[in-house]
Amino acid sequence: MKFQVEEQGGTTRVVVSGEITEETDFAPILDAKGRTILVDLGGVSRINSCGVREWLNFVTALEARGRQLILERCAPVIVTQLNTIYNFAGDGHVRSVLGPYYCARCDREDNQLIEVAKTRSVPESIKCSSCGGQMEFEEVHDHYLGFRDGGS
Amino acid sequence: MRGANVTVISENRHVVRSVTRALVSGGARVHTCSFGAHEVRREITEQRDLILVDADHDAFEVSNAVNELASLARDRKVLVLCRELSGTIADLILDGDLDHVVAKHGGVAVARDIIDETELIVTCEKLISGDIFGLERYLSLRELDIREHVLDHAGKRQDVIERFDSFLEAIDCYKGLRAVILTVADELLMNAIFSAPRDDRGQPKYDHRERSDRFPLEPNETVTFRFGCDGRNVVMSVADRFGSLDREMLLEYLGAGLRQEKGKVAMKSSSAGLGLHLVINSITQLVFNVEVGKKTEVIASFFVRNGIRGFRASGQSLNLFIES
Repeated sequence: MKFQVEEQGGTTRVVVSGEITEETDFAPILDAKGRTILVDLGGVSRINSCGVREWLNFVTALEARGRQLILERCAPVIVTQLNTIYNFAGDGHVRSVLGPYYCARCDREDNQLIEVAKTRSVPESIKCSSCGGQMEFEEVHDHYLGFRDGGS
Repeated sequence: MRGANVTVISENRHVVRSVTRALVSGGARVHTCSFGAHEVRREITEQRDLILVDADHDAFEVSNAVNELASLARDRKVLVLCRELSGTIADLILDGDLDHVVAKHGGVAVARDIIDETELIVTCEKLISGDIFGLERYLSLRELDIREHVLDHAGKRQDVIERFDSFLEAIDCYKGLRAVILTVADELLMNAIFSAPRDDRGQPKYDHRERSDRFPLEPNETVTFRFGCDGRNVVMSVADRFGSLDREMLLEYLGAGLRQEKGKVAMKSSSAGLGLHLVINSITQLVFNVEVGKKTEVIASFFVRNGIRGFRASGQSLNLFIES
């Protein structure tokens, strides 16, 4: 896993990419200066059960230090965890997620940004930016934002 | 399966037709029965090798039929056909004796549920013959290239996952599905390397170790990882020589996933539970072949024809073949 850290006033923005596994060490992020930690999870390709534990330890440690956690651009693999693992985001706030779409005309997979607060339900289809055809939402439509209903 | 007598309890003509076509092709004689208590009890008195129950019917009658079979005919093997691995079916597995569920793959056809004939025949054959091990039978074509890697070192897990990923890339597997499949492989390999091995006293040998630890495995601790694809499903197996899983332990690990509850995470690294919680939500079919104290083979298959959407809609099957 790789991450880039940027300090922006009272906020620390962390861009995470790659795999979250037993090798992942979130400790450097805990030393960030900002009171608010904004984590961009759009580049996460995979997370295994050890990675889930590392993540939860990180979330717990942030809370213990009085930091506020905001998650944005959560990749589909992270949304799966938000919907599967109890308290995955702790007391943090999920600002946005990436929804997976597929265009059958040009056989293209793409992720579309979904602002959680502004979206009542995920669009079933969007226009393909490559061929102009219809891209269909790939995940289970009714469940994708299920984490909003509590427990995460 | 040749000559075996199989009963299908169903009120659905389409299901009876699908099962009959598959099993008669496999050499079995197929009998039909409705859900009435009288009919089910009469069926129990007949000489049958296997009874299939179509669960997409009134939940109360389905539970009654499965429980009746379990209490009045304990030696009778039962296989349930269903659309969803949850609700009544989860209760029958977790609170009852049900071990075998084959999914109706709604994602494959819009108009009617489809029971995958290969999967049905293979599961029935295994139940009737007791010959449970082997990945090949879950692939619908012969002469396929099945890759095999034997891990003799805990540190080789990442290498074989990368090789598996190269295979998935080579068959042009949808990107979203690749992450799902690789995570299942990772979890099953971790369980086989760290949770399965037992010491001379029968106690877990490596379960306390960090999953990032790299150490050589003894010759009897090697883990065999195999995988292949028949165009429809990617199938993998992970085998160890310990057989340390039993039904109670498996159901404890799979329970939250089957009941569609969120997993609560134990903060120690030494638990197979969270891994299997992630696995049960990420498969088309999950098969545990266990010869207790001797060998475990876990087989996972993934419907890969139609991307994540087809995969999610393809239903989920679970089989616990556990031999003491």
